This record gives sequence, C-alpha cells and structure tokens, in this order.
Amino acid sequence: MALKAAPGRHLFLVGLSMSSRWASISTALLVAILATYMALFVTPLGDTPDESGHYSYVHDIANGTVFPLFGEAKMTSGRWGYDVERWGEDNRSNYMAQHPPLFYAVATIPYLLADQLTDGKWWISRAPRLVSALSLGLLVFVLFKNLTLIGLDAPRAAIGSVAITLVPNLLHLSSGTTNDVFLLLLCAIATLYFTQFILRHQISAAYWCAFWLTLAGITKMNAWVLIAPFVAIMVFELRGPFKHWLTHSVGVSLLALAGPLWWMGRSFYHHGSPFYRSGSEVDPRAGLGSSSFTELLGDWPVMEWLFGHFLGLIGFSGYCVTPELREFCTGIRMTQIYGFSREAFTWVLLGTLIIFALFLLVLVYQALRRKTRNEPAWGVSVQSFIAVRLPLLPLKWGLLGALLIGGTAYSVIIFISSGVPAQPNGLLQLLSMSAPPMLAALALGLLFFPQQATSRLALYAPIIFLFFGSILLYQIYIGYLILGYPSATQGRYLFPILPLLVVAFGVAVQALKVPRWVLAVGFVLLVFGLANAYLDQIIPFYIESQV
Amino acid sequence: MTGMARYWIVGLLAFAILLGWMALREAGQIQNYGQVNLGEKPHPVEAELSPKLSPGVSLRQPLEWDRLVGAPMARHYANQAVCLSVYMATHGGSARGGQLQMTLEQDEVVLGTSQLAFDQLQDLRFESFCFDDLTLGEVYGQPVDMVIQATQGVETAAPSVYFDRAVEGAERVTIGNVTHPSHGIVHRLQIKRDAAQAQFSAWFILAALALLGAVVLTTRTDD
Repeated sequence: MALKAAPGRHLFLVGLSMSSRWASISTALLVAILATYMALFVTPLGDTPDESGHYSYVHDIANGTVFPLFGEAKMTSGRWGYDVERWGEDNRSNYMAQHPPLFYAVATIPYLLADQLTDGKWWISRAPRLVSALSLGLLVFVLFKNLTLIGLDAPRAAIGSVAITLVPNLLHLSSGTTNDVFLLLLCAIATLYFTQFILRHQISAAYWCAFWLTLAGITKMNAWVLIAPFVAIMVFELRGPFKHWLTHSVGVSLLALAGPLWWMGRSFYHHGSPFYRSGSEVDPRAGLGSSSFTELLGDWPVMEWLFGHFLGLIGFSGYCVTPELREFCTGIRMTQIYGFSREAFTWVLLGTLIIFALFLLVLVYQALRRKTRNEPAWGVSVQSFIAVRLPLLPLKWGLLGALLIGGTAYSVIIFISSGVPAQPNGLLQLLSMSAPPMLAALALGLLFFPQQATSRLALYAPIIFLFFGSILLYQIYIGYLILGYPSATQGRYLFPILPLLVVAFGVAVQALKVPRWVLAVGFVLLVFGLANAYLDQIIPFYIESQV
Repeated sequence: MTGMARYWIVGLLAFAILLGWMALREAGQIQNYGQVNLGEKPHPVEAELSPKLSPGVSLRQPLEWDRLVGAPMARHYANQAVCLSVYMATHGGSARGGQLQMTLEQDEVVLGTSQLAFDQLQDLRFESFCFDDLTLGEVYGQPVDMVIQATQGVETAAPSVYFDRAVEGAERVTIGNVTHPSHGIVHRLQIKRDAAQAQFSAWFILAALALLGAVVLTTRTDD
C-alpha cells in the first residue's frame, strides 16, 4: 500500500512512494495545464452554463458587494461582449445570486490579480475560470491519494483518478467560470477524509470531513444532499462509549451543517424560505405538467437526456455575448456529444457497472459462507452492533431479499417506463442508468452482515448515489409539473457523489484483482472519446457559434 | 527485458499507433475548421440517392438563400469566400479515380468553379466545394444555380449525392433536362474564415491527451 501509516499526521502530509508521487503530481499537472488552456483559448466566453451570471457574482464581490442578494443582483453590464453604449445597462436579474458564495469569493482572487496586473478585459474575463481549471488538476491529485489509501497500486490509481476527468463535460466545465468543478474538488477532499475515517476510525478525520462538507455546503446547495448521508454514515460508524459517541456525533453534525444552516438562515431572513431559489416559490400543482412520474419517463427522454448531459452538454450563450452576432441571438445554443465519444463512454460505464455488480455478488457469496468479519474491535458502533452483534441471520437474509426485490422493481420501472432511446446503444445506456436502485438495494442488505471497512466504504457509495439520484429525479419531476417539460436534467448535478463512486469502483477493482490491461482498455477508450468529442464536435460547434 | 516490460512496450506501441491513426483521421476535419456552416444542419426527411455522378450526368438546383441563411447574417459575412457543402455517398468508399465539379451559375454565366477528387470524398459526410474568388456578398440574394457534374471518372466508381424527397419551395433539382419538383440536393451554405487558432488548439488537445495517456499508462508499480 502506498500510504505510510502515520497516525495523527495530516492526511496531505503523508508521504507517497516515488512512483506514486510522480504519477499523481504529473497527471494532476497535465490535467490542470489542459484545462487552463481550454479556459484561456478554447471555450468562448459565456459558453459554459450561466457563465454570465457566475462572472457577474464574482464581479460584484470584487467590487465590494460581498453578498449580492438574489432578486437585487444584476448582470454585470460591462462584462465581455456586452456593449453598454450600444445596448444600455443590462438590467437582467442575476439568478446565480441564489448560490452560496464560496466559489465566487475564491474566484475573486484571480479576478483581482488580473485587474491589478493586466490592463485589459481579456485576462479579467478569463481569470475566474482558472479556479475551475486548477480544481480539475487538484481533483486528480486528491482522487489519486484516495485510491492509494484504499490499497490500489499506483498504475491503477493513476487510471482511476484521471479517467473521470476524461468525461468531456468535466473538461468543458473546468474551462468556465462555474462552481461545479470547484464543488467537485471540495467533495473529493471530504470523501478522502470520509475514507480515512471509515478505514481507521480516526475521529479527527471525521471532523476534517465535516469541515470540507460544510465548505461544499456554502458552494452549492446540491452538496447538501451529500452532507446528509455522509454525516449519517459517520454517526453510524462512530465507535466508542455512548458519551463519546454522542459528543462527537453532535460535533461532527454541527460542523458539517454549519455552512448550510447559515445559508438557510440567510435565505429565510431575506426570502422567507430556507430553501429559496429561482422558481422555488411556484406551486407545482398550478403548473403545466399533469402526468405521473412514470408517464413523464415515457413521454420525455429524461434518462437519455441525463446520460447525454452527464457526458457533455456543451455551449450556452457564446453566440449571444459576441457583440457582432448579438442581433442574431435567439437564446442559448447547446449541443450534446454524439458518435464515438458517446459509444466509448457507454461501454466504459457498462464495464464499470459489471465489475461493481460482480464485487457485490462476491460479498453475497462471502456472507453466505460467513467468511466476512469486521476488523479487530475498535469499540462498538451502531454499524458493528447491527452487523456483528445481532445474530438474526434469517431476518437479515429476509431483509436483503426484500430490499433486492424492491430495488429491482425500482430499476425495472425506470427501464420499462422510459421509451426506447433514439441513440445507438441507447438500450445499454438505459440499462446502466436503471441499474443503481438494484445495486443500492443489494449493497444496503449486505451492510447488515459483517464487512471489511473497505467493503463498507464501497457499499455506501451506491446507497448514497440512489439517494442523490432519487432527489434529482424528484426535482426533475417537480420542474416538469411547473413548466410542462422536464428541466434540470443536468448530469453535473451528480458531481458531489462522483468521488465516492470512483473510490467504490477502486475497492471493487482491488477486491476482484481486475487486471491492469482491462482498466487500460477503458482508459484508452475514454482518451480517444474525449479527443473525438473536442476535435469533431466541440471545436466546430464553437467556431460556428462565434465570429 | 522482463516479460512485463515487453508487455507494456507492446501496449504503448499500440497506443501510439492508435494515436497516429486518429491524428491522420482527424487531420482532414481540422483542416475543414476554416469552413464555417451558416444556418441549421439539414435533416433529410426522406433521403434518396441521386444517380451516380459520372461524366454526362449533371444536377442543377437553384439556391434558396432565405433558407440557407438570414439576411443579417449574410450581411455580416458578406466579405467571406463562399462554400457549399453537399451530403455525399461514395457507395462504401468505391468512388475512385474521378473528379467532381460544382459551378455556381447565374443566367448561364459561370460565377465560380470548385472541384473535388472522388478519392477525397467520404461516405455519408458533407463535403465542401469552396469558391475562393467569390464572396457571399456577391451572390447572396441573386438567382444562382449550383450545378454538380463529374468531369472525369466512370459510372461504376462514381459517387452520388443525397436528395431529400420532401423539399418545398425553389429547391428542386433538375437531372439532365428533367426537373423533379419534390427532390432537392441536401446541402449547406458555408463561408471560409481564418481558423488557425482553433486548428492549433485541436493539435494541442491531441498532444496533451497523448502525453497524459502515456504518463498514466507507464506509471510503475510502487517498489
């Protein structure tokens, strides 16, 4: 294992071997350089989602409005491409002010540096993007640390940590002023400490995890959906006498919730609702949609869009913020990724799910043979009490069976309700998108049996993903009831859970001893998929959108 | 050299060959960045192949400017050289050894000529005929016909273009002397522009991904 045991030392100071150090630093650096190049020279200004609004938020902070208020904040009139003399002041409301401020506060630093050190708008417009670009590089480094922490060797950890950045959407978003990739980095760091806590039960790791979670919570509200299960699991796993358990359960919970609670309080104070955001005041019952959820899946390609938009939803309003073309502007211009890139991602995702499903089946087999046991006693936790001390095997197997039936039904409903996708291999994509409830149900059932710490870590991932995904589907349904069509079908909303999914896959790879060449084949497919997406589709799309 | 080292050298070699193949494959696409599509991509409703374009077979079709691009956009690009891209069929790559020509004509006066070798054409792709001496401003709104015919080649190794059978308006094709009111050539209007920055970016991305792939694939196991 690459990680040297050093109890009490800060995780980032723990040394890696030379090859691990070289791999993690060089790959992180290369990814950061690529993303920075994209941010500076490839992605047109305004062509990542809502970039005008994100940029305006940064501009407001840099100019003294530390907490621009949603409802009052406006788009920055003098931003790129906006000609005040020709079009007058831009009085559009900046709906991005609904987001908590951490990303924008950090992005203000390069903005102010560019303002001080350069004399043109070119740098000022692009400087906030560097936070996203550097976040992607750091993400590789953090994921690598996490994968070596669970025991993967350097070659496999390098593949696992870089592979996720080869999803075109990630590289695209890392080249824009947007809070998504920065949030992903914060969640990855939180996941690193979460891993350390599950594996070693160091209470300090739980507090560090809570600290990074609270930072994520003041970056974007969808991180709150991650905070709840992470905190619940840490409390579930926390060992020790009752007083110790209670003290630290409260401490970790309070720390993790501090940021979101502050933002909720602010929203309540200003808007009368702790969850206030754009459109949240509308009553879904008075909206335009009337179908049930399953009818929605059949009437609209919701799952197909989610798949496509996770892979890459490129562009936004570059066309409309180019002064020379503004008169032709009719709204946002975006495109999905098609062709080889989509095919490659389909097969890689399917392979990933098969490996993880096999891992779960191995755990079922081990539970049947009663081969698994918890690691040496660290003291009693709720988890160990249920898994080890409750000798109710028939009940546990019954529960696992019931969960599996329920999860499978959930999966089948999604699969059958969704129409046949129009894209090549669309059924394989739909199959992958429908599998998580079944996998999560099996994982939940397995947690009633004694499991190794790394296995438990992997089992938590699909459960949290299902929680996260179900809330996203619910939000899509509510959006449909209001608007009459499914909105928010954004794959990027799933970013906070991605690091734990990568770690869970790493555990499966380690447990099944998946050959390196198998991972290499998937990795090469993603490399070529990304190249194909940019060279064949994204750059031509940008050229057509710009003067 | 250990068996493992040989194994990885072969793997890296395969990666390099794949990259080389991809670079070759993408080179043409990157070269075409200088041709910018105007208007929406046509989506044929009832696609149908034209006769094979061997010498003696000609297709003539008036250009419907309003459908191809709006007047404000055309004004904006008035000084750019004009291209027309046509959706081609090479019959599984069998089109070889000939020359395809497109002319733009007004009142039987040839305004511009552009040629593509059969061997350059790719199956089921839009192929661009560019008129370097003709700007969009010079032809936009004028009653201009595009005429496609082969100047060299044989019928057994000739390409076709795709028609859309459900066309409306003026976009009807004349094959030889016979006009087909419901058939139109599937085509797009383009302009030529400097795309050096985008072309450099494409090669930069490919090089960066190659380097990243090589670093990841050569990462050694911890000692």
